[in-house]
Amino acid sequence: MSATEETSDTEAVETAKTADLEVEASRLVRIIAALVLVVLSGTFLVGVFDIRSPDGLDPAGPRFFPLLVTAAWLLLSLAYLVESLRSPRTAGAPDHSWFEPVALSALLILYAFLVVPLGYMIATALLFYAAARVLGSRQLVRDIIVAVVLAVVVYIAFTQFLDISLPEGVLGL
Amino acid sequence: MISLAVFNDLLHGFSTVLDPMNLLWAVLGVTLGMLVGILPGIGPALTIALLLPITFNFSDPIGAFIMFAGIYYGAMYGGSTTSILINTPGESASVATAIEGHKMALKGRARAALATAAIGSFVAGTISTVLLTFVAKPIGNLASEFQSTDYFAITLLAMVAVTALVGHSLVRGLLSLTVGLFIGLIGLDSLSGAQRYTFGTLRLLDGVDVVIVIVGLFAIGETLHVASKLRSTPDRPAVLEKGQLRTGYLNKSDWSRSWAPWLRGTALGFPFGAIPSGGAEVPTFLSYTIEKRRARKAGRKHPDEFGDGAIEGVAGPEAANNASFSGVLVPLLTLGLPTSATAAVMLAAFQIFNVQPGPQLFEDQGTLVWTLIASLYVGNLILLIMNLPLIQIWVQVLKVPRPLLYAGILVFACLGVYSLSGSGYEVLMALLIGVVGFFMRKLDFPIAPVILGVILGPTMEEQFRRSLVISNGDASVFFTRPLSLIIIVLTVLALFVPYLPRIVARIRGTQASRDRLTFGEDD
Repeated sequence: MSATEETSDTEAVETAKTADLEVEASRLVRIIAALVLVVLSGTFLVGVFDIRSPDGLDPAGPRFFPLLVTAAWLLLSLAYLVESLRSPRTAGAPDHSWFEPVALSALLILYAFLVVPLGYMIATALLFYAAARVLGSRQLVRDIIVAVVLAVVVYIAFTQFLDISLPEGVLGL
Repeated sequence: MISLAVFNDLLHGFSTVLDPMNLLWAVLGVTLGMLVGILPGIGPALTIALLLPITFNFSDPIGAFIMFAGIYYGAMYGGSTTSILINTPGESASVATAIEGHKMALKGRARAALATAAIGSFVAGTISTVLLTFVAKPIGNLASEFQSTDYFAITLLAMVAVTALVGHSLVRGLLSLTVGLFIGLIGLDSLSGAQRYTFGTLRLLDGVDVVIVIVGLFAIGETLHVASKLRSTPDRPAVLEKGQLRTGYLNKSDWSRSWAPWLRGTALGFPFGAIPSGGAEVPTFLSYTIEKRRARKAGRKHPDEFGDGAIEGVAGPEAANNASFSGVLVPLLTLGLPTSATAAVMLAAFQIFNVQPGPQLFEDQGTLVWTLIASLYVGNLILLIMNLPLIQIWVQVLKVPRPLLYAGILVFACLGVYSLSGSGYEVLMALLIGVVGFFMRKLDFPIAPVILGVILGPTMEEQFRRSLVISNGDASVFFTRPLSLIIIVLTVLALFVPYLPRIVARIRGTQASRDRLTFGEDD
């Protein structure tokens, strides 16, 4: 296998460190995330009172820690919201797209529902092929071969040598 | 006073490791660890998490732990290889190595960089394992005196200190921690049997398996993150020119410039690994800084190569990286306290085999512990023997095209979580957590505190409530016992450590160069 087919013409070397250190998300995504955190932590804070607390020898009881954790979570979420609202607007286009992560997530959901009825080998080969395609591979034959070989090898290795049962599905081996 | 019993225990451990079958597990572990760890963006924590299912059917945990030690060393060295050759550190512990290591590779000195990393890892790994051998049991004995208030305090310290030191913002770090603590709350309360945040489903009664959290946050989160950036970052260009790799191992001057950084790196790595400081980031960066400073001072003797591929900048951090792992094992084995994401995954592995690390471990599972420690010596040696000749072959792994690489990671992530209970539900749960991990990466939230929260949260709560039961609800117990009080004071101080440079600057009346003392995100 060679990487040259996928190599783009641009010679820019990806420096992982700077990419990680950059806060990539635009201000809007940060604010939405902060709001989601506030709503979630608030809901869970209220949810503390749904926990049944038996009278017992335990002075703190099963409610105390959830109360502490969710209250801290809510306060920190509010602090993060304030931080996000105050942050400057980022200029320029965002360097990420949403299509690939959403498509991969959809594939994993399908996989979760299909792995038992279709069987491990078929579902896994399909997952691998589709994921490679979403991730930008355009070599049909190579990808299909790798997908089938990987699925079969993993299936045989895990079921025969490691005694982990994986669904047979429609192949009914 | 060193008691001879340690040698007996250790010899017994060696006799178990040197059993041909166990030796095979060690070799297999190092090989798999290298193979997976060399892939760009994959550090030791993720490597162990992905390879966990392989060990599920080991009836005997000893074989599994010998393999884990091998996997860890292999993955760590694999990460350094990628950092040096293509400048994509798989975890922040190799970031310091990448700075000078990659410069050396560009100058055609890749082999020397890889060799000083390999030999340095071996030296540091062996010395620090010797330290671990003698320190572990006494600390374990000391820890058996601990009461529940001390345990509560020390768990809190580990979580807060790691959170404060890792990542770029205290608010985001603590948010990560609370999310982890929340995930740890889900399920039946162990003391009262009350259902907490099960949302009416039976699936959540047992809580969320930590393997799902790890695989979701690391493997799936990372894949989604990489996927979203594919269009803006071209596939990495192949920089491996065979001719360059062949230019010799260490020459005489390399040796004389490497040995002192190896020892200094070890001296930093072991203690910083043993205290809750987040594993290897702090010691590796400190080692890099110290070597750089020393080179500046001694500038007249040899030309100062820092910034242009200085071998000291590879030798020191690599030794620190390896030594810190033995250091991390001290609190992990003696207190059951993981202080880095990798240690947290190791603890999860212990729990899968129903082995509870802590003061009793040396009594209850003596063979297991000493075999694990003996396997560290053996793992280090295997790594050295395998690495130097095989490096050319490992490097071929780097040629796997990125789409296939990440599609493969998804397949193994699904396999790992699916094999937990054999239903698609686990895959969905891991995806949900993976989406959280994706946004955490996008928004620059650290991952390690989540894992620590999930794993340490339940322990911390149990010790807290047990303390209160013993004291009849009197909360002052945490402040009246001197040891607990000291640890709690340290916890509060840990929150201020990141702001230390700013505080020092203010006292001196100068402007601080950086706002916060930060270290890279722990993998």
